[in-house]
Amino acid sequence: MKKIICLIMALTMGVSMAGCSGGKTKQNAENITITVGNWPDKNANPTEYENWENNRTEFMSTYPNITIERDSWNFSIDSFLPKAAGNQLPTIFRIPYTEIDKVIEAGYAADLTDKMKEYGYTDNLSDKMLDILQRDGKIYMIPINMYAMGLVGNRKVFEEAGLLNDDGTIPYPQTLDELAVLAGEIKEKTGKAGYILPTMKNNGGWHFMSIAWAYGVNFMEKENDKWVAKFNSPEFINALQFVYDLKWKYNALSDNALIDGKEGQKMLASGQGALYIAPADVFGALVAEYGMDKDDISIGKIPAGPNGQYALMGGNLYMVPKNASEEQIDAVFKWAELIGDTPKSSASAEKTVEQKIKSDNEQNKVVIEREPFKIYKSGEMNDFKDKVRKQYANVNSEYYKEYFDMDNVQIRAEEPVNCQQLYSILDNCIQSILTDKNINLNQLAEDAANNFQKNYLDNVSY
Amino acid sequence: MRIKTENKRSKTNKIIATARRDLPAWLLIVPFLLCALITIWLPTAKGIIWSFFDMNGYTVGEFAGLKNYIQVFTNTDFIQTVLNTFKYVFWSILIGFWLPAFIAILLNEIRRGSGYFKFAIYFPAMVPAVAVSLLWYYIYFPDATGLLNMILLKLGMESMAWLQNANITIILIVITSTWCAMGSTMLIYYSALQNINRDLYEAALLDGAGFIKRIWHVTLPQISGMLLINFVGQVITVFQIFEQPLAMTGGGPNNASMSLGLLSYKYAFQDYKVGNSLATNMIMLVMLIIFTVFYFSLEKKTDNTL
Amino acid sequence: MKKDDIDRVGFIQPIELKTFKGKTTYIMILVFMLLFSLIFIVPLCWMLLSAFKDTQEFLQIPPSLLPKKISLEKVKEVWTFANMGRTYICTLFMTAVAVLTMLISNGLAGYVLSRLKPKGSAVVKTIVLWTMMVPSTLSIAPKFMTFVDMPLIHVNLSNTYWPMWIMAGASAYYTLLFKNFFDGISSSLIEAAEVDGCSKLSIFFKIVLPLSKPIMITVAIFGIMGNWGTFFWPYLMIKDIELQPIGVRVFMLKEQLSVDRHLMVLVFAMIPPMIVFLFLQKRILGGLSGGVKG
Repeated sequence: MKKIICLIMALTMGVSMAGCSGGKTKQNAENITITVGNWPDKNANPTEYENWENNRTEFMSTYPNITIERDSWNFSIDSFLPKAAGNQLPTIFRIPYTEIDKVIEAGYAADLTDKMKEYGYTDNLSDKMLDILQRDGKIYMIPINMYAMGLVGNRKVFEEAGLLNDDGTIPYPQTLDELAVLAGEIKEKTGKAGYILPTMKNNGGWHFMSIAWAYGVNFMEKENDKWVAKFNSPEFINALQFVYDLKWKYNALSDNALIDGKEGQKMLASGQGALYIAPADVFGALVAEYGMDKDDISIGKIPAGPNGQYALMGGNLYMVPKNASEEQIDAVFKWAELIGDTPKSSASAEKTVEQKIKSDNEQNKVVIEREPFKIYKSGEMNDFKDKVRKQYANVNSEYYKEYFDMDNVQIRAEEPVNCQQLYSILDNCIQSILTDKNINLNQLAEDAANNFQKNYLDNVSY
Repeated sequence: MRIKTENKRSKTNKIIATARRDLPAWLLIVPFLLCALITIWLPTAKGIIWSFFDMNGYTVGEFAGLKNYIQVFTNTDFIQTVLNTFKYVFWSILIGFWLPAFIAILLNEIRRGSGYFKFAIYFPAMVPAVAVSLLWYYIYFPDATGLLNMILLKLGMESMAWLQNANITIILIVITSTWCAMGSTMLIYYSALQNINRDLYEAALLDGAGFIKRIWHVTLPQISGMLLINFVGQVITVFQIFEQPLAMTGGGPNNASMSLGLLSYKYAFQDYKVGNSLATNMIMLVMLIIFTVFYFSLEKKTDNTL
Repeated sequence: MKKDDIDRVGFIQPIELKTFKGKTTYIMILVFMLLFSLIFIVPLCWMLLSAFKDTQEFLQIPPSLLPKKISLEKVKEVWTFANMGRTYICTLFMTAVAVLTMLISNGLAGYVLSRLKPKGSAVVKTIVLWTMMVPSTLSIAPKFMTFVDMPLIHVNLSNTYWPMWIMAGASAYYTLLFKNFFDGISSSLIEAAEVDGCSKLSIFFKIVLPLSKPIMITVAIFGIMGNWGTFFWPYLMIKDIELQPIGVRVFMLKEQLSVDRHLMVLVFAMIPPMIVFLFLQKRILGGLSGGVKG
């Protein structure tokens, strides 16, 4: 009996404790401590580590009342939740664009709207960026960099297929139909996948979005305060038909139908595939992890479909957890400024940015002569970054020209609600098509839309 | 009146005596109880309670009654997922349950060089999971370059799609996880077999019992207690499987390898729908409890073993 | 063990090994086991060889059999890059204490449940059994919240190995394994000691402990294997790179190293447990004794 009482006591105490979580950061107005995530590894990344350490020293001497603690943690999907629940998130850390919605929805991100305004960043944001950042008129993240998805190619595979242009560029297909034909031709000539289509871990859906939009698919709409799945439509079936044709008509894909994002990168880098939809920040991984020769990399636009030409956004942002105090948020902005991730320029910001680009160049990472996408309309930092990039550029800009000519491309944010869940349903559609030649696409579209409605949209309460 | 007091006194004495006798025993088990309380029982109790609440991430919201459960049950993939989970259990019993025992019995026959076999079979337990998935990726690769397909083609057969064939995905995942996990189970059986009273075999030989009969009557009884525990253990573990399908197929193709464990993982870590994830866990827990009660009522014998 | 004993180990009796039937059976078993072991050994060789290939060679399909060249330079380079020396020490410390906790806490619990059986221990036994059934995802976050703010004492355990040690002390499976083992120790020995007037504690130290060497070694092996490469909890708890054990390092280095170099880190991670296993495996020959009689 006594034990049971003990157990109950301990239990209730535990539950009540969940409410009054012990914040570890000091809230004192005079002395502020912020924890900075993504701190580099001393042994693995000595240059970067040294730069960060210098920044820290400089920051703490400029703002003697602010202390910076280091945290090597990087955002990952499965470690985020426990960290957040235990109030152990760093005060500032990077988060990929694809994950921000669920973080905001779950109520873990601090509202930065006022600070963004105070520092004058909001008005300076490019229209597209502002559109993408706002949730009900509020801004929860500080943007670091943004990319539109493009069509990354491995020039070596094209060379093997004898399809390279005379100047060494890739003959980028202008329409999705051309893409299918070209990819089929590559596979026929080299035996390697002409087009790498991911299918797993929500990457399938993520990559498929730009294609679906090009076919004019409308995924969801809000009707009378309720979200309704709209993609049991001829447009969606056409988009699925495109995937079907890639596999069964043009035989343009790998025999492996279970490919996640990492696997797709690996295939492209190791020359097992020719073309792959990816954001422009993939180059680092292609070179560093999979040993791709940076001169083999090329990037163009995602081809157009019947409804136009689209590209999904990708990129990174800084997140600040909800329990951060006003002073801490201010300190975070000061830190971001010091390391050159804001439009404001300063000696240390310029130094940091230049060091970063210079060390990329020294480590043989891809440095393109301009930034793919400008977050801020104007600002000294914009010009400075372009100047330094030009100085340290180390790849043939011809191979990237196609990608920078985005005038006709509509760059879109992700779908408004449950987009990861939508991706997972699209993953399943794509997997079904690739593994079943006799599939009924009408039925598949109907089921997908139904499942999405029933399993997810019906549970959305906003 | 006096008798009553005396009764009472003797009762109190008895309690004190019992307490005095049992105190050292309880002291010995305190470290375990404390550890288990902190790391298992309390957190689990919290998880159970939270499954009835609206959860914003891990922030507890309003009491939600059965809402989380209803959302899980009405998920259109739920039934398929439950069936898949049973399939995992079925195949892992068929493939993974007897194999370690069988190999242990054979290994027990090896006179020289058994160290090599022990090392070989236990080796996968030492390989980090990342390397395991990389390895099996090459083995199951669906075109002519995959290891299994190379073998099939050499033998003049047609290559197969392996993991992409929805009908066999689960079996292949079970084979991989058996490859990883059988080493330790095998070692436990093996050490048990090493302790067999050797005269029993001699006696059986004199009785004219053949090899099969000897295994049946002498070898198996030696490990039957362990077999029982491991049967329960295996059902429980495999019922919760999620890491292998997550790494190998992500639950695909088209949910063919989705398990309840993976569903719960996806709810929690991909959708951040913690309430639904906890509800899924509770459903699993209830199913396992039903299984265990049923199993033990069938198998009274385990009461002595456990 | 005498040579005679080795021969008498299995169901095939020494006499029969000289007969045709016995010989063929033995050879068949040997051949089968050799083939079967290939399933496990071939991947080992593949891993070791692949670590020496360069990235593009490593990724090519079909894979090449042997690396073009084996360079020790690469080994040295990866070793320094990953700061392996320090990582080994951290991991060793974390693992050693975890295994110790595991043996003491679960071993004592198993002994109490099996031999001492104080009043009420049956309830504990049942709870322990049920504990095995609880899906681990059910308790991840509450557990983490406990670790960063321990109940009653309000201590934050992040950046320490305490969470791993506490968890090691609460394994339902090993507790039951210990209990099962102690159940099998012959009661006559203990009764004799009781007649001699030994206390329960001295019985434990003088009789039970020496007898339980095999199970201790077995659990220790599993404990070392299980804790050495453990990833998830250290990843959550330990922020300081200088303290991170190898499982976390392997994960963190993945993005910074090419796949072949990363594989070499994996090989580094595997070598110590492999050595431990080779040393300890002879010890478990003694077996888990009678604890497993049905």
